[in-house]
Amino acid sequence: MKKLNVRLVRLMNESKGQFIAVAMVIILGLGIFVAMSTAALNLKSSLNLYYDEYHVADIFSKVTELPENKLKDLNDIPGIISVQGRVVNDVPLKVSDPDEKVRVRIIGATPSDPAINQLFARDGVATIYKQTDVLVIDTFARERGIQIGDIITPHIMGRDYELTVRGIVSSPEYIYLMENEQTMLPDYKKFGILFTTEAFAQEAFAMGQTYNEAVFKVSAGVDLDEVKDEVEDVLEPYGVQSLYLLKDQISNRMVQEEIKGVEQSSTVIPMVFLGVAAAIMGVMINRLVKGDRITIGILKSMGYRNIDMIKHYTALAVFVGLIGGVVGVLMGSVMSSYFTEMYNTFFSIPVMEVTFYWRYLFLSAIMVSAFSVAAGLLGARGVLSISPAESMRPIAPKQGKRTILERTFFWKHISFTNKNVLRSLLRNKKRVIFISAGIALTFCVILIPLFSLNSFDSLFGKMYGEFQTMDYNVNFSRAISEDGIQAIDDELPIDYMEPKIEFPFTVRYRWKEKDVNFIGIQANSRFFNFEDLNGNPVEINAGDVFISEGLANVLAVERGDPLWIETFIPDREDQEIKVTQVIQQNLGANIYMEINTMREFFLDAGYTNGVYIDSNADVKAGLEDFRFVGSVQSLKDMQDVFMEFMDLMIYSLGVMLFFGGVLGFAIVYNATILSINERKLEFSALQIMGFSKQEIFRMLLRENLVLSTIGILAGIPLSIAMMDSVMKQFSTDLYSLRIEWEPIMFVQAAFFTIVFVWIAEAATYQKIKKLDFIEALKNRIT
Amino acid sequence: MKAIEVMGVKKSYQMGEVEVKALREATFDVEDGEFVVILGPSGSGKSTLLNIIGGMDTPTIGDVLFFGENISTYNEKALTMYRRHQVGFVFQFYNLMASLTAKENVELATEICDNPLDIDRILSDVGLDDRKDHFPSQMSGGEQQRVAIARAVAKNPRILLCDEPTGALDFETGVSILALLSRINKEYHKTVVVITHNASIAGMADRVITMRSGKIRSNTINENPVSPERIEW
Repeated sequence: MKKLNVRLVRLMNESKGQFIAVAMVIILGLGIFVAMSTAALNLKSSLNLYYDEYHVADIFSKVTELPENKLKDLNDIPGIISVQGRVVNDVPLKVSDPDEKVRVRIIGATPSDPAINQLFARDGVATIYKQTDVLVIDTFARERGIQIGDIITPHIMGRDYELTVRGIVSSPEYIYLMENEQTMLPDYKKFGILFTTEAFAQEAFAMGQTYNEAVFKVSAGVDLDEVKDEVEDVLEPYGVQSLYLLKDQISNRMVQEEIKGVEQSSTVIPMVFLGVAAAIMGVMINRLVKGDRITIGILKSMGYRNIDMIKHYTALAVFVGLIGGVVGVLMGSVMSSYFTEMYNTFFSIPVMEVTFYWRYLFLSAIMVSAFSVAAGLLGARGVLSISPAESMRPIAPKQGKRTILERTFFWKHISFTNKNVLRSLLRNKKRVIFISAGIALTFCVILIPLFSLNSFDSLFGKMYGEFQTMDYNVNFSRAISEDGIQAIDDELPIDYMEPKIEFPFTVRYRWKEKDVNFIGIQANSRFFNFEDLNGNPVEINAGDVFISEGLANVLAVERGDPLWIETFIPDREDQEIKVTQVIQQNLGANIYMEINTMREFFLDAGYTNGVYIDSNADVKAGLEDFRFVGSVQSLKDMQDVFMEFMDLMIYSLGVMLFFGGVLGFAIVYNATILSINERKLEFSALQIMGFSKQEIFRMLLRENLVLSTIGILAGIPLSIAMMDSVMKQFSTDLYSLRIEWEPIMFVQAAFFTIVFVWIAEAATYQKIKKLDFIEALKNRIT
Repeated sequence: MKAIEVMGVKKSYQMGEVEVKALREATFDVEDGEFVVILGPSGSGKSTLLNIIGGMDTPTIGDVLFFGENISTYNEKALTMYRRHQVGFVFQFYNLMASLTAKENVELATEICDNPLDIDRILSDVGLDDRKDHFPSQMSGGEQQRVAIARAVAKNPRILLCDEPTGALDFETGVSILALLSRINKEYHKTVVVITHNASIAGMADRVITMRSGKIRSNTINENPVSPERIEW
């Protein structure tokens, strides 16, 4: 090994603490990059493979009643390869605990040829022929411990059916199992999918020879929108309730949004970490070059060239970068399998592939090399200005100047130690900026998970506590007369009830189009507290059309804009309505109308397909006994799911805190060690004056306390700006994340930041203890 | 043959806010194979002169010829090559790499040369046979200076420039270092230029040049140089 490289290795060994701290930042940066990029690509390719091999439907439709013999007409539409009619309804499932409310969606379909939404058998079979057999979706079966041969009992239209489980299956249609768009999170224990024979479903739901859903497979390369329009024309007489493409299907959307989110994170987070590592490395090398002034002069006097010297110091950065890179890539690869494992918990993709992509190894190598070389060159550029002859001469003392503070009245009243602290800070502005910026960044990284936790808490609290306040949200499986609604009130201990309509329509504004769930509610509803974008309360009245903020953003609609509403309802013309208010809604994309206005525009007088209920009693089971009740969503169910979700969030919070901690540690530890190395003479002089090592350390502590305060204060506006951009990036029409700043979050982030700074400080104490002050006073010894 | 010809060299440089006129006028020659002592008090410009001869610095005015080649016209690249192949430096404070052993310090210099001498032989010649795997911190000042000399000689340069080589050493060690330099001058046939403020050392030189305030005061040939062991200060 070249002797310069030997020196490099020994130099690193002497300052291993500093290099390990930088390497840790690189490891995390590249680890996150590889893990997230690989996980996103694994998820994406597995999803595509699954969709392709198991023939996910391209178009989904919900109708009132579609006769079996009309499937052929649909199949004749140009571009359609295959059609599958099916009976789909949500019903309660009887479980051993009578207090536990479990719902299942029964899908009764005969396998089509070519297949659509083909099932994958995790256990047992994927196809059944007997009416008493059933297949259960894997996520639900896993959570509930359902096994092959078990008997399960769905309660359909007042009757219990005992079905034997013949297979545990996955479906490309239910990768992310959410009951509907209003459900914030999946609850695998409380909601599942049962696949039965077509005959069973038709008989149990008294559907005769009809279906209430049809799904379509379309040839590749065909314009899906055109095919959808033709499907709509054919289905129109059969009461189309919704018609949408795969891209708008809830499970697919959730997976795609997850992929998008991971892809975004996989670029931003590593860049921040590698940027910080490069900055620390650059400063370290810069200081090293300054300290090695005479050594560089000697080497130049021997005939070493500038380029040899620059390569020597840059190699330091590249070496640390490579070590960090290799460990980071390895860690990322291991982490990616954990991520994929985690995805397997949330997303049911049986063909989930864990592949290591060499491209990320190369990309990592390029990234780490670019950052290391940049840091090395930036730090080592000082070599160029060192001439061998000048390096032998002592450096001219810096021009001494009094700082502004020293000219004030207060200066006299400050103790000597504090004067030293202040002088050191005021005369080393670059160091102050570097450490403060690092602490500000650490503060931001720590604040983000705290903020996210608070945001989701607030999102849930606002949505289900402030925005809508009903205890139960009940959907009917069909339109019900006022008598039916009255029956609910008569039979159950209801405190208050309001009728509602939920109906999907296609909304068009200029060239933008979206399938939206319209909600018709009573004028001045007690269950909704609408607020405009400025937070002012608004009430819905006859003629009003309120649009949720996320949806308004997606469609680029403002108050007063006209929307074109396409209806699937037979004999109803498409309508134009005017937006009267854009309202705040964190979760879900909806348009709200006063119930009678909605009836007048699109439906029949008296049409109602659901109710909102307030009741102190547990009326869920009672509600589900009504034959016309399709689904019941209670506030308590939502709370339970949310609490589970929050547990996961707290785990992520811990991981992010660790990341922030490593970042803060690396910055403060390295900056302090550099400061100690540069100020050996100053500390020696202090010790000769009678200062103890502890007192000198306390002085450094005070300096870093001031810097921490500056960093934290600077971190507040920085984190606000950062979170604002994160919110905009991650907000969709389904989620409108709003910044909910609470002072306690800043206090918590500041606390954690100070803890990490303190840990870094404690680690530097050993350096102070080991400093040979007498040796430091011997000048000109390399 | 003239090894060095210094002709009307002036040098000034900026130090902080002060302009230092380090060399006001210097003209002299050094013959190949001579042992030259440049004598002068602190601040007389001898180190600056040595740096210019060694290609570490360039004159503000004047020329320096090395075996007939005008090195004052060299660009930085040419100066680097000049230092690499023609010159060996020995400094007052040894300036060894603390993280390299004695042998590695020597290898550091020879790695970039075309025609280096045998390292083990040199280390043996400077009396460090059993100390070559020691780090500078494990060696005495005299031993460190021996490593520095070995480092300079092992490159096989034509000239050895020594800046106060005994300045940081006690008398006995200083004498032993001077004896070593004298031996290298004779056995390896190297031109040796030593700058010092110690007038006693002048006794061992073939040529003595005295300096004061950046000017050459005298340039005399010592007809009867004494052996280093007979020097006292």
